[in-house]
Amino acid sequence: MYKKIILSSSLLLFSIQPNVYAEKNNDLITSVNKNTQKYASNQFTQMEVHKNKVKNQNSSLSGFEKIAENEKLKLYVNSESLSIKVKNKSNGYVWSSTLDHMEKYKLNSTWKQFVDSAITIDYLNMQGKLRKESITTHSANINLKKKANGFDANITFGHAKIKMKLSVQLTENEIVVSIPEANIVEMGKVKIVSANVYPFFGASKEDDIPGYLFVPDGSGALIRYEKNGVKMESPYSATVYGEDKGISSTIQSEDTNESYKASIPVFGVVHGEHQNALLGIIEDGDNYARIDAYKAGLSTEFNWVTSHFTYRYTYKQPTSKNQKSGKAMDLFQKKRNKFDIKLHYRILENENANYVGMAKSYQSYLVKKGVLKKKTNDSPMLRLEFLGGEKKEGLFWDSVVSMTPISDLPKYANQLESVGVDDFFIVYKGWNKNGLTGSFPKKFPFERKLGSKSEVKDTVKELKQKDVPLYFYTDYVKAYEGSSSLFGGKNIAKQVNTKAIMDEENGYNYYYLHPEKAISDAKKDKKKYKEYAMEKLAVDSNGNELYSAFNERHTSSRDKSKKSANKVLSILNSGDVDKTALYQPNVYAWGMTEKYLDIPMGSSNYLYVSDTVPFLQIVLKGYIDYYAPFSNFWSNQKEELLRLIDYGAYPSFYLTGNKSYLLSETPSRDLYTSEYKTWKSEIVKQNDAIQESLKLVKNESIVSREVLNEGVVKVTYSNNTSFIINYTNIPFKTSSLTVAAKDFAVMKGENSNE
Amino acid sequence: MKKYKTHFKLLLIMISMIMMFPANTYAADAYKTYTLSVDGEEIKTQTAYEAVGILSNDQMIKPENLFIDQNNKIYVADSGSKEIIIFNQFGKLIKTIGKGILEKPVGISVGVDHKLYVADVVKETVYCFSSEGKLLAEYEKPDSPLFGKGQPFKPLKLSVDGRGNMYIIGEGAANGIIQLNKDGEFLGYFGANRASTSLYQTFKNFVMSKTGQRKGFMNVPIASTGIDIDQRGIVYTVTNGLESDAIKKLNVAGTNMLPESVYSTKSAIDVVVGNQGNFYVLSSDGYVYEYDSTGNLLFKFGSKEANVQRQGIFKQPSGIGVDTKGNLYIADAEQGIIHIFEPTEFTNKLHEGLAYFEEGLYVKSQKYWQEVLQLNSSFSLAHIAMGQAYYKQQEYKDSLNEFKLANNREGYSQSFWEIRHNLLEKHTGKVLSFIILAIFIYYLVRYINRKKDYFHGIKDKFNRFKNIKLVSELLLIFKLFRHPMDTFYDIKKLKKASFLSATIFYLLFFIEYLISLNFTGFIFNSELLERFSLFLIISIFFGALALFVIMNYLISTINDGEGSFKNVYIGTIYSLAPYLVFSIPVTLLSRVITINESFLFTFTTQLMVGWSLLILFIMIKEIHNFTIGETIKNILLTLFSCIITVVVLFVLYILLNQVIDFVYSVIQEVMVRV
Repeated sequence: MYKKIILSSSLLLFSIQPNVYAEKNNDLITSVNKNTQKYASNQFTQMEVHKNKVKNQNSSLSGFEKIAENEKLKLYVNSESLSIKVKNKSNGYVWSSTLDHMEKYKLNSTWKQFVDSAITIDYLNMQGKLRKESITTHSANINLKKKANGFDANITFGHAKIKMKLSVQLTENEIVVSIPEANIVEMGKVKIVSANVYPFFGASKEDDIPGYLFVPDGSGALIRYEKNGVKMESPYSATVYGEDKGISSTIQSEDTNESYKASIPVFGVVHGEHQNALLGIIEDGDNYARIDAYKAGLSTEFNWVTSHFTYRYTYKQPTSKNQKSGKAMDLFQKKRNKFDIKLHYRILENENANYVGMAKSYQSYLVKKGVLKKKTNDSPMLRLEFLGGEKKEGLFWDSVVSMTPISDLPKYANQLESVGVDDFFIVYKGWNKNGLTGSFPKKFPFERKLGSKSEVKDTVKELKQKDVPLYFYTDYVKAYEGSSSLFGGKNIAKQVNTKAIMDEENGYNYYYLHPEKAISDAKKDKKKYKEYAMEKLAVDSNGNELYSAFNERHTSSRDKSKKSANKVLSILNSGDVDKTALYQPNVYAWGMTEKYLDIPMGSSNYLYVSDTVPFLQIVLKGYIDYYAPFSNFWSNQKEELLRLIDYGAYPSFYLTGNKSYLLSETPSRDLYTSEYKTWKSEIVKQNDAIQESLKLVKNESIVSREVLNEGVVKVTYSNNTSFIINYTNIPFKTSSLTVAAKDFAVMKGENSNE
Repeated sequence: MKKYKTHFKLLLIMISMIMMFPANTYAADAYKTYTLSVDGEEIKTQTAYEAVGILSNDQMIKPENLFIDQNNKIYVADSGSKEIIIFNQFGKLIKTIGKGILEKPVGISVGVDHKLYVADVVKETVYCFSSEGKLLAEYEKPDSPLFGKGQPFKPLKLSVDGRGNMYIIGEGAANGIIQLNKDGEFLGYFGANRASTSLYQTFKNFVMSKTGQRKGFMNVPIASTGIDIDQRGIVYTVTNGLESDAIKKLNVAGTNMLPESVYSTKSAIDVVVGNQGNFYVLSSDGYVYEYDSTGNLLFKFGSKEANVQRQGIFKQPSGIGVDTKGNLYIADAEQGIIHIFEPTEFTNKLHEGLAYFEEGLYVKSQKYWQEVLQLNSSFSLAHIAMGQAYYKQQEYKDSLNEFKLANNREGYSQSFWEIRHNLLEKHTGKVLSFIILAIFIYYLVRYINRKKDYFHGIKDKFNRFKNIKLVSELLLIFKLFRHPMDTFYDIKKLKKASFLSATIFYLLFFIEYLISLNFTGFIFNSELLERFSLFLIISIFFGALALFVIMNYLISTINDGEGSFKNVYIGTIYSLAPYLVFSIPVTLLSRVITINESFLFTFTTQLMVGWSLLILFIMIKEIHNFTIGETIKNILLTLFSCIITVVVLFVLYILLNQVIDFVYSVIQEVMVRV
């Protein structure tokens, strides 16, 4: 479809040689409108508009004393409220955790105290009533000690009498704020509920300065500062790694798709793109953190984003069996969640002061921590998931609908290779006994209808010879109702209100395995995988579901569950099984992720969000290969393909050998199009496009991404190769090249792969 | 029969709706999109309309209704700011109209010469403005006697046709849509809804006196809630709260052109006509339905949530509009914004195919439908269209398959007719000569046989076989056709039938019933077997029979009936002789006839059932030795007691459930607390 036309060779003087892929045959009649509002919508990234130098707000240092300094930064502190200001020595920009001249603004005293104080806590007083107290509310007792790179402060709150230690340190280009668990003291019956730390750090008023808040929604989302825009009705509020299902389970309207989780504990503030930015990273306490963003107009006139830490969650304890009656008491957790808080605030400037810079900064942070390692091996650029079998409920017993027997896989691989598609891997799903939703957590034996043990081994061997990696789908969280191995409730994780954690998929209920049970199951299955020569695994749920379990005698806090999840993954990883492919893993599982499957390619479409950005993708590119959700379900084929190239994501297909409608009576009834025959041509088409583009930047990372025009994006990689992606219906022209409507162009760098 | 089928479908849809739960990681949009599958159930599909943004403005507070004209200007009736707000196609505010005049504008329409017509429900007036905002006319309650003195005139929604006639929906205007001409003269009522009379209502009317009825709540039809008129003057209305006929497409005479089986919603609030003859319905529970011109559902999408601020999620949807590019605009009264949706590539393909399809260019549309089917292999309408296309190309086998996939009986029947026709043409000669040959041989054999009885031995054997007790008992059934009364005498007095033979017939009855369910030709198949579990069918089938037999026996014992239980048991199944004998031939017949000859099937079926019932009547009369009057009384009592028994069992079941629930919750509570 795309034909290579080399535009000009006279540009050899420059190191960049533009190649343009123009669409040749435009045979499809499309009644698509020319002037659409889509590209100005929040599903796309908007153009940078303000270039003027921003005015430094809240930069007054009166009342503050300098307490530490390094080559890059100066740290100032106010000894009464412990609010801080940080001066970036390279450009003199001052970041403040508070507001200057607060009397100017329409803030009541509670808000003023909240803004000014380093810490604001919610607590239960002696009578069990919920109260709020900031450091300045009742002039907390503060014992400030100067340290080499910052300060330590012991705080005793005036009324709550709760004691805490706050320490602020300067390191290189960041400020590290921590509140250690060991130093929290609760007096008598008083109980701490939650804490806010420097909530207004980097806050700005309405649209006084240009810029945006960054929130980790989906692939990443920006909330631009504006005065008369969409009004936010309630804050963006995302629990890091998703709501703890051990505490509460939110019920949504059945026709609403769930919003994305925050899979990384970061947030950011930009004051003038390419001028100043502040990136917040939650290092410790992430399991109990929430990221809150407020847009001006909601409660105050300020835009601010912060992290919020919960020591005691509230939960609903039902008092009647009939759940519909909704009779329940609101209770607080008895025991305090034990965790240290540690926050990094990174100061970025100039070309790094935007979401790309933040992503790069977070990337370097993860590299330093050893979570991300530079990719060296060659991995395929296309994912094909085959559904083996699925359960069909019957009158007396359930049967299995066979969709793709395992021995057919090499056949499909051969067919694809014969048409030039040879760079892919296969995930084989629903191979376990009784099919996909059949018998989890029990996986073995291999479903008879799909093949015998020797057939499995032969297929693995055959595909290995062809160099097509074969992954087997597995899961150590979901436990389907009625599965024989669930006998007795103790293997199931329970909520704090003693109900079992439960979820449903197409009307089929499943429980959540107790995290410890998952470990023992993984250990047991390990041998079986070896027996069947299953060398590679694609693990669902374990990387993205983080829940505490409150079973009697063996509880598992979220911290512990996280360790268990990683343990499960490391068990599956060790020995014969290589690194695993994970579905939407949270950041803590990235160290064990070889392939990131189903990466979010958008945000949750909140009305107040102004842009969607590929933050996750920029962090991962060059370190972990990531694959988009299935192309089967796209409704804008061309546009989504362009988005793959924009985001550096590889395509995925969900396939079956048999016709999809056989699944209509099964739990997989949502799979309404999957037949290999109907998708073959599209696989070839998308593979070609990816081979022409993303292959040139294999194992490279993204260095910049800019919006040239509404709906036109330029992404540049570390080998100087860049892509111009034109989402719009109008050709895009620059001085040197033209990118056709709904097409992309490649500009090769000098040290590209080819 | 057909009516029951639709009810049945509704029930199934309801069941399937309850069963569907969210679990979707595929879609990037906040809401889900459904279409109708070939089974008539909602299934998920690719996003049909993508939420691309919102229209919001400080001035707009509570948009109630909107209208989009040919230049894609958007007119919004805003009851919050009490004015009409006009945006251009890029969402820029052009002007506001009617400040100070309007009190609560809730309906807006734009007629010829860009005249704005605004319904104000508080002022009880329809205002007409020029596009510049000048007030041109006010239309108040018509004084025509035809309008009715007691009738209120509280305009809610309105639409204007090409000649400037206004179609006004009024609050509580039960007589129908108020039709005014451009001078404000009352032309008449149009397209009234029918008052639905519930069973309870009928009962009440029957029992209560005339005055009592008048005092009680008047049973008047509900007024429509949304209206639109297309370029040809066809009026579309929707009515909130109606089960059937909620969506109507009315021609000039005011008759509904949509079939009764339109897949619709009970809470439709607004309707708008699209660009391809398609139309959109908005429901107050947050769904947008798109239909093709004949009322086939194409898509259903949207979602309503109270606390979520996401694109495409409504809080209080109030009005819908569509521009010339096919973009949808949906007003949200609570949020004070207008959601904008753009059709996706998928939908554009579908519309393209649909446009050709509507014009009858089936073959041309085939390409698009093929692409649609690649994206969703269960898309019902696409299969129908493909079937039509194949039919046009005389590829009847393919078209037959497509129609079968789409569950389309008419199309299937047509294709089948063609195939049958071709077959007949090809083979008539052979078949005819075969038949003639067979007849010839038969007579020949008979002729030869007359002289020398070759088949003597076989006849003997057959006679001996007939004399085996069970066989003779079974063969008794054929006697019923000639001498029904005698046969029951045989059964009752001479004991010529036994428990065993009756039981065999019961089983045979069931097997034949299953065969008829399973093997009746596609056109006439009720598909009970596919929809319900075999277990349910078995239990209902035998339950009903057992109930009848037992109740009939019990009733007749207290009614001086002579028949013993055994008599009733045997008699009942022997009465069904016509069914037992003819069911299989009728089933076979159904496989070779088309809709054109459907009377053959229905007639034979009815004959079979009617005959059986007649014999059943005779059976009860003879077995119990009743007069005709007594027999009728007995049958009515039997039916009544059957109903009572079912009700009692049902009540017991509910009570038992409650007890179990209670015990369970006590145990649970003890376990939690102790």
